[in-house]
Parts: sequence; structure tokens; C-alpha cells
Amino acid sequence: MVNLYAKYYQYTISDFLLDEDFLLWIRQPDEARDNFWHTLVTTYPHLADNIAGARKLAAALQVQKTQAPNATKQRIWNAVTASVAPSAKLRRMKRAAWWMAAAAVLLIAGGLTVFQFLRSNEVLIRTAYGEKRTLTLPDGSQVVLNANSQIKYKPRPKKNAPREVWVTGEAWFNVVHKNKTGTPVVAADRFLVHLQNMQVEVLGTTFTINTRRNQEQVVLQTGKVKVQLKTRPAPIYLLPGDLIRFNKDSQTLSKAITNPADCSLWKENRLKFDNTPLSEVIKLIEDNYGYSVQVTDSSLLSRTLGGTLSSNDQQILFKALENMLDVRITKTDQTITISK
Amino acid sequence: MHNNQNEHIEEQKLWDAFRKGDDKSLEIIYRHYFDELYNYGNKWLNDISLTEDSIQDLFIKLLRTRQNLSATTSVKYYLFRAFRSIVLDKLKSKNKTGYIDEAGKTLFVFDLSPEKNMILKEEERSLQRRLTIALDALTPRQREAIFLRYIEGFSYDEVAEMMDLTTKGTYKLMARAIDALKEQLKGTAWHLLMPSGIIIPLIKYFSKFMG
Repeated sequence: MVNLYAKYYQYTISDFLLDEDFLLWIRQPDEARDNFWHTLVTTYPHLADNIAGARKLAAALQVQKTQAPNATKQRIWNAVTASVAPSAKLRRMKRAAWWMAAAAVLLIAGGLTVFQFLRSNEVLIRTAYGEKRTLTLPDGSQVVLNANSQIKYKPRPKKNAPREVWVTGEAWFNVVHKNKTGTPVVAADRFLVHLQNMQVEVLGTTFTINTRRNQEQVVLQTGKVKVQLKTRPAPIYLLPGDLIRFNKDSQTLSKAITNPADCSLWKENRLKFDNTPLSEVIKLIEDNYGYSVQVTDSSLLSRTLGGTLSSNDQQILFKALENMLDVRITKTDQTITISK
Repeated sequence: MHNNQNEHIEEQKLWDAFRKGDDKSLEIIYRHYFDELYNYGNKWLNDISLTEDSIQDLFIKLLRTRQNLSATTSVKYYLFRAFRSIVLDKLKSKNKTGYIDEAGKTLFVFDLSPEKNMILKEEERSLQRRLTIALDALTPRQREAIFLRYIEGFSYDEVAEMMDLTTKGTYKLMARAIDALKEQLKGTAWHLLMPSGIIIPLIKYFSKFMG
């Protein structure tokens, strides 16, 4: 305790006024502080005058505060809140901007999704029995779709992606050659025909596809074609006049040479027969016209047929067949009966 | 002392509430400190409308920078410190050179006067008059230090921070000012008239007023 007081032994008025504890006592007196300073005075009575002087001086150092009228206080506070209000407005605008940005992002994302959907969306064209259709693909390639067939393709192919079609039934293709300058072939130059068991890849050719009767057949008319079987790693290249046929039942591949023009006569509504047995003609009728054909006498099946017939009109066709084969053809809604 | 501490805690609560987005808390702080800031600002600017502008700027700034405000143990100190720089900027734009210059000698002039509801004896009033004259002879910096320390009650450290001085420098600045003011005590015969024996009751008597 003595040490605490000893530091004040030689304190002047100024020293007291500059002392933090002394000022605390004057500003915020309490019992503990009163006791401390009273004990100091009783310990060192000579300090009493200086302490009193310091108190006197400190007490004199006061300023009467001028008070602004309440109206002024209110006016300034209103000004404060008013000038900050635009910032609140700004915050709202910022929030609105965020929402707008979010909406824009959603819109763009949605648009892209729709675009992708439309792009990946496929066009499917199907022909009915007895119907034949000629169509032009987005790249300008020509396709003739025979009766009871279908073709599927993407109306908006991706850039730099090969052209692709999926075919079942019978179809004749005239593919536009996209790489005419002789530069190295790029993906976009290719034209792919997907069949169930094979893939036909061409650049620019004319050929016929037939996937009827559990077989897949390609006949090349002009140009060059690469046939890739799903079950065979090595591709097969066809030359004009080549016919390749994959039998789905036996999983065998056979190759033959044919007159390619004959294989696509159907697109000109002509049927060419060259020593063709009735059994083949029946298949043709069933595949293209959708009738179920019955033969009353199986010996009729081996009768053969030669010549070219028009397939424009069923009535005329059947009449011609009756004459040429010397048979009787009776037709009901769904069935055709061939008899002697 | 306890009251004072409670007040501090209450203030910190208000401050924290304001920082978290409660404008009402700031309004309470505003109303509590308006007069003190008003007085202090006017000492510098000697222009009521500029002082009002400064207070307005201070609270707008607080509202706008709310997210960046730090916690404080003394709201008053925080306010004064921020307010001082706003006031000095206003002073500069008022085309006054800094208060250290000769031309700025008349800055931060204040008259000592009894606080409201305080009746002083003639002797005390005469001391105040003489001290006021003595204050005029000090530098504006010394006057400001005296004001912040004895009238606003900031600690040495706080005065030093505010005035951009070291604590030691503040002490020196103030010691010289106090020495000059102390001389004015000699004009009164109080220490001759009053023996040490009555000092202690006198101190107690004064304490009542000081509280």
C-alpha cells in the first residue's frame, strides 16, 4: 500500500491533473476511490493543497454544452435516413438484377435444352403398303422409300458430324458427295446408313438397301461403299454391281454380282422378272402390298416368270400375273389366293 | 462506476445491434451523442450548418459502411474519431489551412462556463474566466487535447489515437498546457485561506457535485 502512495509524494498540481487515477476519481468518484485519496492526504498531509488545487482546476475545466433544438436533431436524422434510402433502393435494384440474371440464365439454359432436343429430335418417315415416297435429306441427298419401309434421320445434324440415317425395309439412295475437292475425308463428309446388323458408309454414291425377309442387302449402283458388319471387324468394300446380303437366320454373308439398275426398278414402279419363281413374286406382293398370299396348289410355286410389269396399279399387276403365270388370283380384304 | 460500466455494456449492445442491421439502435446512439458531437464539431468549424452537415455525413457513413464496422469497447470514442476526420475535411474545404498554422490560431477556441444547473461561487467563476484567457494563449492542438481529456473524458491513449500522436507526445503536450493553466490558480488565495484540516470535508462536498 505504501508503495502505491509513495509515487505521489512529490506530485505537483499538474502531476495530479495528468494522473489517470486522479481524473477517474474526479469524474467517477466512488467509495473505494474516496478512501484511497483520503488515505493519501492523511499519509502525506503536504499533498492536500496540491490535490485541492488540482480538483479546483479540473472542476473549472467545464463547458456548458450548447444544445441544438430537438427539431434540428430530428431534421438531421431524417436527412440521414433519407439519403441512405437510395442505397436501399439500390439494394432492391441489385436484388432485381440478380433475379433478372437468374431468369436469363434459366431462359438460355432452357433454350439450349430445347435446341438440343430439336437437334437430337429425329424425323421418322414411314410408308404404308403400296405407298412409295421420294424425299430429300437435309444435305440434299435423295432417298426413295419403297412401300412398307421407314427411314429415320436427324433434321439438324451437328456440325462436323457424319450424316446418319436408320433404315428398315427397302430404300434407294443417291448420296450427295460433300468432299469433291479431294481433300482428306472428314467426319462430316461421311454418310452412314444404319441397319440392324450392318452399317453402310459412303461418301457419294447410288445404292439400294433392302432389309426385308430376315436379311439385309446392299446393292451398289455407282461409287464406292464400305459395309461394316456388327459381328465382323473387317469392312467389306463394294464396287458398282456388287450385291451383299446378310442372312439374319444363318448369320451368313453372301456376295453376288447383279445388275444394280434392276434392283431399283421398283422406284420407277416397274417390276422386272427374269425366270423368277412364283415363290419370289409372292414375297414381293406380301412385302410391298401387305397381303397374305395363299397358294392352293404347291406345284404352282415353281412356275417362273419373265418380263417387266408396271406396279402402278394393283389390278393391272394382278391381271398381268394371272395371264403370265396362267393362274387365277382372287383378292379379298387382306388375302390373295392363287389357284389353278 | 457500476453505472458507467452498465452504460458501456448497453452501448455495445446497441452498437452490435446496429452492425447487424438494426437502424433503430443507431438512432438511439445518434440522439445520445448528438449534443456532444455538435459541441465538439462547432469548436472546430465555428459554423452551425457545417457542423450539422458533418454530423449528417458521419451517420450516413455509418449506415453505408455498416458491414465493415468493427466492434468497439467505446462507442463514443468510435464516433468522435470518425467525426473528427469528417470535421477536419470540412475545415479544409472551408479553405482554412491546418490548425497548426499561425492562421489557425483561433481554431478550437472555447469558453469555460459552468455546466447546466451548476451554480459556481464568484471565485470559481473568476477562475474560469482567467482559464479561458489562458486557454486562448495555448495552441489549438493543446486546447483540443485539454477538451478531449478533461471535458470529454477520453483517456490518454484515446486522445493520442484521435490526434495522431503517441501517448508520450500527448502527455507532453498536455503537461505543458496544464502547467500554463495551473498558473491561474495562483491568482486566488484559496490555498492560503483554507487550512489542510478542512480540505477533506471540502473534497467530499465537491464530490457530490462531480458525480
